[in-house]
Amino acid sequence: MESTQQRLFSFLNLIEILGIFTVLFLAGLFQLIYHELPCPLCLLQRVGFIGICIGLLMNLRFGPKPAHYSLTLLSALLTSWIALRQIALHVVPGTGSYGDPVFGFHLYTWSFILSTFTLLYTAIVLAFQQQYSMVRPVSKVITFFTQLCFVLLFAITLLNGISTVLECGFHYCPDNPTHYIF
Amino acid sequence: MLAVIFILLILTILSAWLKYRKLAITFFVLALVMSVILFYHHVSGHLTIHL
Repeated sequence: MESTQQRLFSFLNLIEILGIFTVLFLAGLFQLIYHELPCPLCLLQRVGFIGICIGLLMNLRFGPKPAHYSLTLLSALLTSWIALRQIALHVVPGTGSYGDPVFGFHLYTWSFILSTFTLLYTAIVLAFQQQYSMVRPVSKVITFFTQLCFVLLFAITLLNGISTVLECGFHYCPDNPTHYIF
Repeated sequence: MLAVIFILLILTILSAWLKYRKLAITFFVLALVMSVILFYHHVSGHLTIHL
């Protein structure tokens, strides 16, 4: 039987996954609607966000484990470094920016804020020892949402992979892409 | 190279979905290491240009 604590930690993981899904969905929307091709650093940030999701989904699939949170933290840390690097590239006045701002910030600035928030959030959630001694199996509702998240994440990753191949092929991406090579 | 990272991520998701935990973690770590290498390549390339 599923305990309240088990439901709570599964719920917290799901909330974080849905937040990251929203980011990836919006990034894809910008690419399709506004025809803003993602730069190599933008694509690496997407890789980082997908990595965050995978770590959390493994918690839902195999039960919470410090190793899964560790994967999430490493991905969030890498994402924040990449975003910070991109901010640094455009921080000097006159160096321009990449893409249009959303609510006053560029997407890479939002990426830095969100990855730092993810670092903080995950560091707090992983500290609760009770979740690691929980007994499986989980309820059908959590299993359903886990499967749904797997389908969505698989679709998002596949679409991003296809878009990357269309944009860069199997080589290094151009620094400032203007068109698809295929 | 980014396309290879996405392929590794897809393999990670499929492995986790099919409950192969260790395989999933292996693919994940490979993807993460490749991302770090690519990031380093980008940063060092820019440093060379600026210096």
